[in-house]
Amino acid sequence: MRRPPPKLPTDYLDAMKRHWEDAELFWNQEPKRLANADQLYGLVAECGLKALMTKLVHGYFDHNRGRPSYRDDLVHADGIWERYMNYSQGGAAALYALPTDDINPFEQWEIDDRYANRMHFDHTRVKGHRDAAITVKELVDKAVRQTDLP
Amino acid sequence: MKTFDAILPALAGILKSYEASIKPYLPLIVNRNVYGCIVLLIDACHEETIDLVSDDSGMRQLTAKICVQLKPHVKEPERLWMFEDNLQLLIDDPRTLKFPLEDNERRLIPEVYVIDRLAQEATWESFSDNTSTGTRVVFYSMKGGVGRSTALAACAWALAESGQRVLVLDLDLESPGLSTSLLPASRQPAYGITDWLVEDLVNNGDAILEQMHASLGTQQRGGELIVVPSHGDNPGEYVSKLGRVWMPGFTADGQRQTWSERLLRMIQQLEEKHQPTIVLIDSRAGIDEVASACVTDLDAKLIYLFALDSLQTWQGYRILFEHWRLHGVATKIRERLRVVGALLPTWGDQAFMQATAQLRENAYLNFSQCLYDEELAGAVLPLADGPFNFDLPDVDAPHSPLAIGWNQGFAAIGSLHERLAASEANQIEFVFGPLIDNLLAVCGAEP
Repeated sequence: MRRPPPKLPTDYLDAMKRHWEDAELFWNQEPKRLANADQLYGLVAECGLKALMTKLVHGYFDHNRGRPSYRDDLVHADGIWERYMNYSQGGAAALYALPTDDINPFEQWEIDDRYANRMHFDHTRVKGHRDAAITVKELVDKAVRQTDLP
Repeated sequence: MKTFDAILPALAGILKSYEASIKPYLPLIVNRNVYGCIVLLIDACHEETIDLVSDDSGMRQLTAKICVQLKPHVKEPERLWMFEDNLQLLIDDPRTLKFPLEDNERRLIPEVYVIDRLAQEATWESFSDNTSTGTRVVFYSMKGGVGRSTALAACAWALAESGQRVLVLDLDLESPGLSTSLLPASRQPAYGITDWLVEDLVNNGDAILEQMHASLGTQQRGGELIVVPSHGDNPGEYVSKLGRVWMPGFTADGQRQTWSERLLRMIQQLEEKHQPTIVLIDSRAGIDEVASACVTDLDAKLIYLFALDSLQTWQGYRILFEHWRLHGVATKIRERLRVVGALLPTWGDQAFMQATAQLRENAYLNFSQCLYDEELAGAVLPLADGPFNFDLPDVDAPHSPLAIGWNQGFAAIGSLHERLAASEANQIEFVFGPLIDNLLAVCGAEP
């Protein structure tokens, strides 16, 4: 039986950056490549929030296994937003707080949307996800400036 | 619409009224986030079986009721429940700040815990134990300007004169000055506690450990007064340093240490170096980050609660006592507390005694309602040593004030070391005697 190939090491910070760069390429094209931009904005938020939680939430990341310590944290943008809102604490929680809006901006975003037809991705939907990704990216940029990250 | 303080009692009431519905899903964690919003955590094994949809489902009705009644501190019903694989880990983890849920009548809701996420490190309940080789005593006051630092200085002086090795730490970091009043300008050390906490962030604390104290030997019985100030003789960029002392540190193996854990490490190093018989810690006043560390995190054997007999003082202490009671940690701290009556009036006939008696009554009221065990007639005592309870007149009780009278000789003086050096021992004893005797007893010395 073939062994699975070794897993590449996790680097949430760089993953967030590259997903952001590529998402913006799709977004800035005319006509916009909305479907794939939408997918990548979700990944930007996921990687950015996981980067922050790795640093700020005690015991969040299992460095031996290269993944979050608990199965509940193996989630994408739609799940990580709620977990970040509910579980962050300490002085850094104020510094890296998400907006208190009642809405999880990625509630309607799913990783399986990658199988969907492009007709489902309109400008309003993708702009909402882009705005949320920008919010996360600004928090991560601040953490980098504060040297809380990497 | 509910506001913050009504959320938990209201939730307790709703959970009690749906006791049968919720029972199969216990234990349950009420997660209150930094915004004051709550979600309910239950074990992930229930994710497939919990019925939040059917009209006749008790859990659906419970969910709807919570979302309607606790708005805006809960979100929509779809976001109320979270399923956790590591629920028991959250309950068992000593680093997680949690307390049992109780209703308005102080009745516990079984197997329901509250995890409280604060936007700061200070919790007023992160007790550390068995870290001290000496005797640490914290001087704390709910309000400033009550003569706390002056009393500490006088006691430190008197203890050293009686032969004790006294280590004094100025932890009133945001309003430093104790060392300035205890030490002549020529004796101020180069560095202070703030400098160590900043240097420790880059593993450079050892470089200044030798230069952050000044010793004043006494001629009496070999005692010594060792003062560690908030900052050195040149405060330098004090505001910039102070803004960094709260940072957590990370050990070589990546373990996170809160700032108060770093502070505790510094104190242990100072104790190891100076071998004091007693450590006197001047705490910040009020419900403050530094004060929280001093009162709960430093494994103090004794915590003096300085009190003027005023409504504001007792309201403040009541907040703290009630927090300890509600969070189930009163038993960890109540034996270490002792009220100090500050600036008591000494003019007029009987004024001092009357003021002391009045202060005792108010202190007793707050201690008995929050920290002392209730006396249950005929009940089997749950504690091996009996209930922690005291009568109003008991002079050894935590609520019984060690009384310090107002004294013009020690009021509003800039240079305490000159005043203390010039004072006759009996003058200091006259004003601060009850406190000094209490400290000597703590040291195991004869008053």
